[in-house]
Amino acid sequence: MGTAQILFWSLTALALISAIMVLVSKNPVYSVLWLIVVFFAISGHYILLNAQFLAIVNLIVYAGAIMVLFLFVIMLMNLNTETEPQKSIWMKFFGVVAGGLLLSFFISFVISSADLKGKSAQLKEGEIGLIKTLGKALFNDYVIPFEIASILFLSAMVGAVVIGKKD
Amino acid sequence: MQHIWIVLGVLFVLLNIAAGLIWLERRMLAMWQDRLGPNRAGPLGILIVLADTLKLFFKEDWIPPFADKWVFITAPAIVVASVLMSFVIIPFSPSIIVSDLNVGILFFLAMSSLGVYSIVLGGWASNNKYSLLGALRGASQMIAYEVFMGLSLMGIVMLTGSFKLSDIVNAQKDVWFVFKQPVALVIFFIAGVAETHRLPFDIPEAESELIAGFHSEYSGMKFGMFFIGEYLGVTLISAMTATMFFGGWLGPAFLPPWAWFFIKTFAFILFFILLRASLPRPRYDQLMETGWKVLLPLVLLNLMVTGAIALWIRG
Amino acid sequence: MTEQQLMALLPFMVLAAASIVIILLIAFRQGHTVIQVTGFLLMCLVIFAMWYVRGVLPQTIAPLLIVDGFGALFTGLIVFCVLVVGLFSYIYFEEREENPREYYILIFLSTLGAAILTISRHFMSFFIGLELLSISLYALIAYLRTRNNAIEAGIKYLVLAALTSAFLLFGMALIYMETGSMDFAVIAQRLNAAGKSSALFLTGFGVMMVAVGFKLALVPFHLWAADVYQGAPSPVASFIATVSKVGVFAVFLRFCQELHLQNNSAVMMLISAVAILSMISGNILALRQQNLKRLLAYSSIAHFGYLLVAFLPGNNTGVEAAVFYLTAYAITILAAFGIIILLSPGEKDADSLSMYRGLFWDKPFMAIVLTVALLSLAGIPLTAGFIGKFYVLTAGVEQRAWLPVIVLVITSVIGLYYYLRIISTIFADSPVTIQKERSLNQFFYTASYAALVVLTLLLFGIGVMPAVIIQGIKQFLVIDR
Repeated sequence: MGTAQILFWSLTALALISAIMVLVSKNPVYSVLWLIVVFFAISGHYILLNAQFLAIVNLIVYAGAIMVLFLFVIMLMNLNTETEPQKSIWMKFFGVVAGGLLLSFFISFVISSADLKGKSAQLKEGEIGLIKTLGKALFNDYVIPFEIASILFLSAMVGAVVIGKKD
Repeated sequence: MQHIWIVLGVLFVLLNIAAGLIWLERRMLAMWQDRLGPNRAGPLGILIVLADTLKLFFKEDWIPPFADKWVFITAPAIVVASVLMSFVIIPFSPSIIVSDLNVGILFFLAMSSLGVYSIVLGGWASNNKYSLLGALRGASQMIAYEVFMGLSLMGIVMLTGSFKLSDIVNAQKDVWFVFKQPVALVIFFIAGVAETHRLPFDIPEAESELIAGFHSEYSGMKFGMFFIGEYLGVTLISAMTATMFFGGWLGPAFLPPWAWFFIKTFAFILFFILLRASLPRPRYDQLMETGWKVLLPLVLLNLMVTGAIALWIRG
Repeated sequence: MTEQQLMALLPFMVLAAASIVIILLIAFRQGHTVIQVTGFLLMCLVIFAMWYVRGVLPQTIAPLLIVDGFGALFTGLIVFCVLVVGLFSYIYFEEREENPREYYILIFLSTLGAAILTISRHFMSFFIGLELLSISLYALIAYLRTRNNAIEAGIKYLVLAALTSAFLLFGMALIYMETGSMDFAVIAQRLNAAGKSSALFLTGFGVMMVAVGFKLALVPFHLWAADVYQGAPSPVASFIATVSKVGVFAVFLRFCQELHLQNNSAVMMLISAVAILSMISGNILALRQQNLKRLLAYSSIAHFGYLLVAFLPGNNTGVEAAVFYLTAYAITILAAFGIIILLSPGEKDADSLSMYRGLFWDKPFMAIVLTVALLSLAGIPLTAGFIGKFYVLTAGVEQRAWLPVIVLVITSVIGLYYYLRIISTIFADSPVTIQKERSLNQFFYTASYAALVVLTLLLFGIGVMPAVIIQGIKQFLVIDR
């Protein structure tokens, strides 16, 4: 297997195992830490696809800022197994069954889709992931959703201040 | 093959600088505070480095039984790892750079974002009120000042047109960016001091206010790691300031380029130590208010003005 | 961007500017009244801007937006609803101690989100509009944060909306994987070129239906509706019931029309199943409700079930019937919630049915408006609701979709029970007077009464002479593509 293949499969394994550990951890802080590992693995995948900007910004925004805020909230909430209501074992069982069915649907559709057969992990080349290309596309074709996204941030800020301020 | 030598060389030099800073800081602090500092161990007290390191190595490695073991152990490792990773992009000389990434500055910002985790996790894992308080305050301070740090660098990116640090150094061949972006320099430096939580922004440690803040429960080599991380952070911010604003390895030809780089970096390291010797510590709310209400508008204004002037110059 | 494209976007830019103007007014410490009046005038300005730019329509602003007659129709409906909601909010918030000025910012931003949904022709603008709409709503629902149910309702909406947004993105990713594009028109082309029906597309569409079903409160994604309607402030509940649903329905309708999904039997089976379940459960769940806001929530579920029956055929009659029904429904809900707002005393909302006992003897005007609104919801002749249902039935029968039509008729009859129960409570004997301190602006009370009069007259007018509206709708729908 070439380097690309090894990297791809190891990053995939890391992402999947960490994602399962997010669900399975008893301590919510551990779940957050495993989620951060998942984000690192996904950033690795982005780098394999030559989406450099996306990889780094994923790290800065997701792993660097959002997860810190998650940690804040979880630390201040002080969750314990004793004080939290436990779900019944039947709910967990049926949850796993339903999720597993959905997963098998998706996998079967993806595998049977004709143009994905036979392709294995490849490195992507070319210009498309570079910041320059992204910047040009963002400010020429997609400038309207860019502006609307800034309005989205405004509404989130106003909403957060309205709910959160004390008076 | 040559690459491995570069990596090993950079690592060696950095760790030596971090260790040497133990001595340098204590001597310079002493000099500015009108006293002697360590002068017993070895000539000029230089063997104090060896003494401190041996002491930390041989101390009992005690993990408090009420602490969360794995997170407790990982927290100091995170800060050292992320700061060392940030050195990957810094150009020591035209040929000595570990990896000249296309997204150099963004990589630096990503690694400094990861540095927040060491404080938060260290404070939480200690299972101690003071640590948690220091940790939360420190984390909010670091997240806030990260924003300003990133934005202040964007003015330089606009002038250079690239995120690569080697491009930025090359763009300073005729005039250093300190003359083109003075406001950005001030804001970047202030934010950098806050990021490495040095005085006057050392609320996370807050000696004599919060016991020892987020590293109250740490002893031995883990404590040593936090300190190495802090000194490496100081070196990193000094190196970045030298690279981004003062021309990096550029300088007259009578000294090799890496010498110029080290001279500039050391100048800023000394400035860091001077700040510690002279300034009082502001209150936490004053810190946050100044950040969001003064620095953020300033840095956005800087960005707008830089953009306007750049467009005007380009015709 | 050409000048014409900028002109076509003018109403939306005015809408965005409206929230900035309100922010500046708050910064300059203006009072509630000034902000209310300014907001009202700005919404009128938006309608004027829409009339002003009608010459340049339709404009395609590649790759995300298309401003055409379809979009203009729905945006007009949305802005009308926000006008009325904004007017009613003044009375409601004057009597509560929370600072109501930021409420207007959030309402206008939410409206902008819904408006973007109506003109979107690309998955990205679909998502951005949806998020803009939802995020403002999170804060609006929990606005009166010291009340009992407000924060609970806000959290329920937040968690569920975020979850379904994730589903939406996943569905969009699957469809993108299948067709290689996010543009509705290009997706339609590629699907037709592929010939056979694609399983991946069906899965993606099914997953996207989770998000659409959540926003429209269709079964089985309807569990949030009753709690959120009850916990949110009444103007916000009326906003959710009208504007947010109209926006999402508009983009869903556009998506299905562009892709000619009516020919896809699997999708149609899915939608009829959802419609039938919504009609049945909406009506049955409302039967034992004692709380008027929850009852309106459940009846909204049923009404969107009826609406989907009109949506099934996909021919022109179907689309017109759907738009007409939506208009009639919006006017009715605004009238009903208007009554609830005007009757709400300072602390609680007037949502318990016992508060309406003998309303006719105490406040006859309000009782009549509420009765007309309920009759319209039930689909009694002479009201707009009847014409709407009639059209829906016509469209359904034309397409020979027998099962949904039969279920529609049966559940409408079942629904009649709880509407008539409320009406009989209103006309019952022992009057209970709701004490209210009328210490406020008589002007705004008069304005709200005037709005209610207008709404009632519209209900009757549309019920008796629907041709005007239907002609208008036909005209709008012609000026596109």
